Amino acid sequence: MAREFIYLVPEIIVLATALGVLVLDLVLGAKRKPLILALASVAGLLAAAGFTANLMGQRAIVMADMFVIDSFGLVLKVVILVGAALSVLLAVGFLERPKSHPGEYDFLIVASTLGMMVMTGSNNLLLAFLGIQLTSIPLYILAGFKRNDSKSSEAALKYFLLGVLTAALMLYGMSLLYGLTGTLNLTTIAARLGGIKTNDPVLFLGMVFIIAGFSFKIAAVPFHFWAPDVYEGSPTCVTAFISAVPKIAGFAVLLRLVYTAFPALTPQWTGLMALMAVLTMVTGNIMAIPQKDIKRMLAFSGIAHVGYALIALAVPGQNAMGALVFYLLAYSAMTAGAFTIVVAVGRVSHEHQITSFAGLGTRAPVLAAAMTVFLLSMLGFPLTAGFTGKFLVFSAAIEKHYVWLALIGVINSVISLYYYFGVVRQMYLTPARATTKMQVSGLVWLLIAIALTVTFALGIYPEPVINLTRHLVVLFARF
Amino acid sequence: MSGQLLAFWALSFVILSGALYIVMTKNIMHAVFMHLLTMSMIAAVYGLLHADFMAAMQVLIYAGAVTAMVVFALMLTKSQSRPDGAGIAVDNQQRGASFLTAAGFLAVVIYVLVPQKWAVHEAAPVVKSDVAAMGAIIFKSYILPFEVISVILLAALIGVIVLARKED
Amino acid sequence: MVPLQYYIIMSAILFTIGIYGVLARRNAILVLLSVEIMFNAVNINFMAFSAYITPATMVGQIYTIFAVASGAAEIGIGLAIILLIYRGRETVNVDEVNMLKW
Repeated sequence: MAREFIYLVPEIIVLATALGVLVLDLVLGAKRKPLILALASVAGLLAAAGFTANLMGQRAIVMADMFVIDSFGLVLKVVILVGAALSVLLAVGFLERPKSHPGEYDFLIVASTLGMMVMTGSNNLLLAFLGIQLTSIPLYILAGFKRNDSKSSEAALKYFLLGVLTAALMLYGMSLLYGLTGTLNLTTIAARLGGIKTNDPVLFLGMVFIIAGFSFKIAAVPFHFWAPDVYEGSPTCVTAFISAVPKIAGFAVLLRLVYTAFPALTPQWTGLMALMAVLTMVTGNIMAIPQKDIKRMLAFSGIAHVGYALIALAVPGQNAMGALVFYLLAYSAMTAGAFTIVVAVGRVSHEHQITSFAGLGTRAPVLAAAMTVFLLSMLGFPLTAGFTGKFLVFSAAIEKHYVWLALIGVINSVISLYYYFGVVRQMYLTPARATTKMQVSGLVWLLIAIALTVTFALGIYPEPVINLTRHLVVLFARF
Repeated sequence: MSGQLLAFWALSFVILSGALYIVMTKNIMHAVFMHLLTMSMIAAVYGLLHADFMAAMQVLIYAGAVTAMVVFALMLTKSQSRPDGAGIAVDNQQRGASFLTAAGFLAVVIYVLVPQKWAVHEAAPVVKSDVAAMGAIIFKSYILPFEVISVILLAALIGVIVLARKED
Repeated sequence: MVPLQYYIIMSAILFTIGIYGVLARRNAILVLLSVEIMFNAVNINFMAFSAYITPATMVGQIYTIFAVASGAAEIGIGLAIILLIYRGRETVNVDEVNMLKW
């Protein structure tokens, strides 16, 4: 038992960080409090990321078969932890306003991150459910964190109601699966399913309900209804977090479920995933076109990206899994970068219409150039992370003879040109309403620089990361 | 008909009609009190399954704590009448569509579940409602979920304070 | 002895009643009560399966303990959000909360 705790050191560090932030919040004076708390959280999260990276290559199931340590989970945990650290930094400006509760904010972000780590590693449906709860409950609160803004409260209410509704559906599915197999452990479910007919309708129903519940977390169609409203209503720094980080954990738990528990039902779930991928891509791209609010536009664009990533789930195999991990990394970098710029612009213009980007090319040329890079990356332009990610996903699909799926993906990428270009046109071709130069804080520059570096690194010289995802990313269940 | 079966039918009748009352009634206060009754009857179902400890938990948490919280929320929000005394509708305009959705769901689930042959254990339904054994399982095999739920409760506690606290 | 099937069908009907309530109610507190009904239907399922299929390991009972605890936390959050909405706009009706289009 004591030996097993070594594998849980990252989680323990994150928990200690969360509690430490609460204590620091009590003892610190008001001066520079948001920055100090943020730096403490970042230190804890990065330390946990370091320990996680240190575990790389290990394979184990610990805590009475509850928790899996494998490089697939470890890689994603590092991405989650770094993403969470960056979004803590992004929020410093938001929390410097009076009465903004920085201690509680950082605590909730770190607690949610802990939930995502639990989700990523769970080998048990009960633990996966609790991980989802620990991820979601802080997010409901963070969505409503601007307490005197009724849009923010509304975002919290919608997120919460749709969240509990899908949670109930997911639990119903888990109960049916438990009735069939007598266990909630993913590995044992796979073993027991050997004795059950795979065309058992109860099994199929249970699987569909569970996948539906997990799909809510990644905002896949038809479980995406919360995303635009929550993105628009939440404080933008929370939106940046929600859009980039929890989706990684959602994909991790979804992939672990279908790969570990349902290898016997591969034809059924690949069909479901392919259907969901097509619906998600098309809905996301079509709905993004008429949006006037940049956060809503990015919400639908994020939905479309979930669709591309779902292609990788629809074509199971080592290459597809590596492509998925790469895509999630690329997606979180470019989304985080784009939202950082939305935060920076929003702090000056106090609104989030796409028109508020008008003339950014003259008012803040570097910011506009960076935004252009992130949008091009989302579009899938060569030399950016988005291109490599899409290339890997589509070639994994073609390799498994799903040419039509890759084709739909390419067509959707072309559609997305329209709305991404809309923002670029605003920035460079529409005259600015204000002519003053924009002031951007050093922290925001730092975050943009990091996101830019990752976006270009994964686009220009992706070989090391591709090799990593191809060979290192292995799932425990396959051994 | 055995006594257990009789008890099951009676409990099911009360639970299902209570639940229907909760989703149909126009009076929120009545709905809350029917919720109390329904949750207590579900506890009785757990008793029928020989899970006495869970029955007690159900009464304490769902029938007790949750109902009390909802009553507080009702008192704090005055949600049923406008200042001028006129009532407010508690249902939205989509009752027909909601009914069809629910009926469709029920049809699918019943169609799938009724013919199902579950792998019932030969000793069933003998349940040890042994709290000591349950505690041993929770603190040996389920220690990780136990730790996780403690963090969930802490996060919920802090979150509720942040959201509901009146700014001075 | 009550057949297992009876419990499962009863809980399926209860779950459906909850779905209807979530969809048809506009008062957020009543929506929450309907969600509670759904969670309890799931718990009945788990308890019945636990008694009939895995009487020795008690997985279902243990699941229910955790589900009850996290369900209570969720209700607390939900009511806090409802209070927040009420404070902002004097209503707890879900369909009046529509500054953002669905």
